[in-house]
Amino acid sequence: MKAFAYVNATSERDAVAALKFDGIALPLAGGQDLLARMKDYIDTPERVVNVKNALDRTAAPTSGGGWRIGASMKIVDLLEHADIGKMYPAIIAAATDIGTPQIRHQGTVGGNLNQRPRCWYFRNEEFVCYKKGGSRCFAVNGENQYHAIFGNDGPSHIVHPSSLAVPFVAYGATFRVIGSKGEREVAAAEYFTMPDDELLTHVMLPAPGNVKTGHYEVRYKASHDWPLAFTTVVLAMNGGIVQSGRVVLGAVAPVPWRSKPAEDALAGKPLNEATAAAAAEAAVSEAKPMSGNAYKVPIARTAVKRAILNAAGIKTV
Amino acid sequence: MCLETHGAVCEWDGDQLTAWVTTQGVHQCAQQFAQSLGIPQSNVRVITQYMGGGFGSKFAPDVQGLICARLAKLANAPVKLMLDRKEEHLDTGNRPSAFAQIRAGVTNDGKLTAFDGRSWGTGGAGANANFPLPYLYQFPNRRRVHTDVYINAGQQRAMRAPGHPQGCFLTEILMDELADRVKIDPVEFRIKNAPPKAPNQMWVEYFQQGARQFGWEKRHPTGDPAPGPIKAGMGVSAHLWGGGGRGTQAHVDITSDGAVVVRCGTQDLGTGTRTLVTIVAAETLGLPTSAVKAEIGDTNYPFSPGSGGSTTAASVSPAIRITSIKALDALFARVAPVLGTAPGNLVAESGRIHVKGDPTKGLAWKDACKHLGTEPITVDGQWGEGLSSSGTSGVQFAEVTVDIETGVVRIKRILAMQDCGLIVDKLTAESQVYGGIIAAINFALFEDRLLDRVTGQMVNPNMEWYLLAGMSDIPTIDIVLNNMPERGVIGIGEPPTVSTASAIANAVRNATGATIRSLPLHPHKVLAALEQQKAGGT
Repeated sequence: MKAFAYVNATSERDAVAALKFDGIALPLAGGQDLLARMKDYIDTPERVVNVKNALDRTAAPTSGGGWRIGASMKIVDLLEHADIGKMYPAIIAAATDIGTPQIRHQGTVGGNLNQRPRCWYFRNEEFVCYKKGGSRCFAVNGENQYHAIFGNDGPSHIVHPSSLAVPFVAYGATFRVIGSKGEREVAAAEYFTMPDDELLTHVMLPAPGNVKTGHYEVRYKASHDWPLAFTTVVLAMNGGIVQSGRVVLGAVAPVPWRSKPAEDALAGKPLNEATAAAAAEAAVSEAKPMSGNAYKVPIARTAVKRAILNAAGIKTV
Repeated sequence: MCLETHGAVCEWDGDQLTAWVTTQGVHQCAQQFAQSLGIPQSNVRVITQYMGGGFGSKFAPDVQGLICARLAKLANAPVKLMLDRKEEHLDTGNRPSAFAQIRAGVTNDGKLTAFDGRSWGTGGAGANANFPLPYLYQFPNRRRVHTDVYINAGQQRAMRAPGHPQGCFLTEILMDELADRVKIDPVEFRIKNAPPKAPNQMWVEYFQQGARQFGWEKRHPTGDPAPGPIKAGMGVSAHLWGGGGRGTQAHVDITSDGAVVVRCGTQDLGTGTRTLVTIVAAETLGLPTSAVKAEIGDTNYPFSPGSGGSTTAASVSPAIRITSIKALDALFARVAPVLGTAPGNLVAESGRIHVKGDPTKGLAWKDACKHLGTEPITVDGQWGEGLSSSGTSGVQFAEVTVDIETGVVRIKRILAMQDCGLIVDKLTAESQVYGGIIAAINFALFEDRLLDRVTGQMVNPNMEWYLLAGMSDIPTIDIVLNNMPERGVIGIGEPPTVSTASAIANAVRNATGATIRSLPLHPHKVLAALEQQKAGGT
């Protein structure tokens, strides 16, 4: 690890000021990603700004009947939050298997959303890839069994690493960010393609309304591993009929992947096994796997199908 | 892969080198330090009190140990040099790969007739990728051609049970496919073709006993007929290993305060050698283990070979036993006159030395030792014939579930039938079986060294993408240890890791009906095999 200056920010304003720096300044929260990147020389910031004490660590109800989650809230605190668990069960399902107990006790909501890619080329200092200022994605002609099967128009073929991003997008969350131009709110789905010159402070969850939610993760190892693919579905119901829904896939694309074909296949249909199978098939209809990851297509299809069945209360396995 | 990476602390005192090395052979290590540094071996002392795993990759100082010694010399200060995780993955050697094309013959009533195999393996930029093939079973006609392939992708090492898991896997998955061809239960098929029963060949008995204990009668034929995506299956596999050992020297001191010190230049690879030394000496001297101090892991102590090939227990235990008996005889000789009897009439048990058959006529150990005065008992001894042997056998059963929509395999339970001659310590013997099976679960499902096909660089030199089982991936493991005291001490470090992966692979085939002739059983291979099966191929 290279030497760096350390700033302990204690307010949002301090944090923004400290990050505005003539050189490389990076925010530190739970440290589960940044410190590992620094040890591996993937990032060599000249200034590390601790934002953990500057940002909100709590969750609070909003006037509209939703919840507002502070970026510094620890994942374990989110997991143990009774109201959020009741209103947004898919968030808890996604948080349950993040990393290890140690990582969940140290890692924060903001940190989980802002992780850098886990791609093994990105994480290896000897490969200067597109994400590190290079001119190519080494996964294209290389080892890509855990890379993207959607959104593969490039230039990068990583899968987005955040477990929480997927249910947040599915619940229609907005993110509050602050920067030198002040604060604003952006749709969660937009956030992951924005330039990262602002600091995430809160996740704003709208009141879920009359929805059924489901979440399913396919994991190679039973614990301490990245899912091969996972899905959150949030379905607005009209009696037994799906009025509209959000189907969001994780670990399959460079961003949390919202599947319009799957959502279209669900709209107006009764929530049953045939609908789940049809929506799952629709979801993978737009998959474009790489040379070594076509096996992720049936896995993603299974994740979608089982998440929908999970929402329907039908036992899957 | 060693959790404790390779490395050392080196310190020079003039021309004397002391090296604290994580090694499974202190004396071998000292010899190689001396050769490589061009100094007399008498100037090198290597110490290994405890270590975090060697698995055949820690017999020598290696580059990092020699660099450490040279830096310490240049710095004129102690230097610690441990590899980091990435270096550990890249530099410290691997189990060689194995690939084979096999044709085999079997009669309709299930007798193997012929084996014809071509095999390849790579040990990197060197040889030694060969492995036993066919494994264990009796093929009356056999032909096999093996080719070592040299590639520039890291050196082989004698990883735990060198060659055996490879040969076992290739043979055992063949056995299940052949059993299906002739429609015979895999256990029965193996019994028909296993070598006859002998003390070192207990397979037939283990197949029968294990099948009963495991509930093998509940196994369905190939392909779980149950509805739904989760398919269950059972598999079986057998293995053999040599073990046995010799050459260890030992030293025992008994002082007038009753203290006992046993010194032996062996090392504890993590198998419990220190416990074994203590137990053997304590039992021989009639003392509790707390009254014996075992000092090992130091080249200043009497010679003992490196810990490889599951030889340590069989090499060390007899030496400790023989040397302890010598020390006790010497003590008897000093104490006998006090008790008014001949040394040959004395016994040591329950912390006392007394006349045979008359426990009242004796002394407590400490009181007896007081008579040593200023001249302690100090004796040397060495390994001798008759207390150890070699040759072990084992059989393992596995039950798995396979999710045929995701290709994910979960292991439900493993049963291991295993012998190792006289079991000196049940706890550490069982720990070796647990450890061997868990390592083999990694071999079966997870461990995969992925090299970038363009640059040759390993893309997963870490514990994030080089997968290892976590607690949740480890199933119930039942162990049946067959104690065979009449055979003496043999050794159990390697055999239990040999057949687990084959039993798991056979269980996956039994569950799914799909044939996967490759490890690890990654979801992409499972899904591809299921696709191929649907298309009608094997």
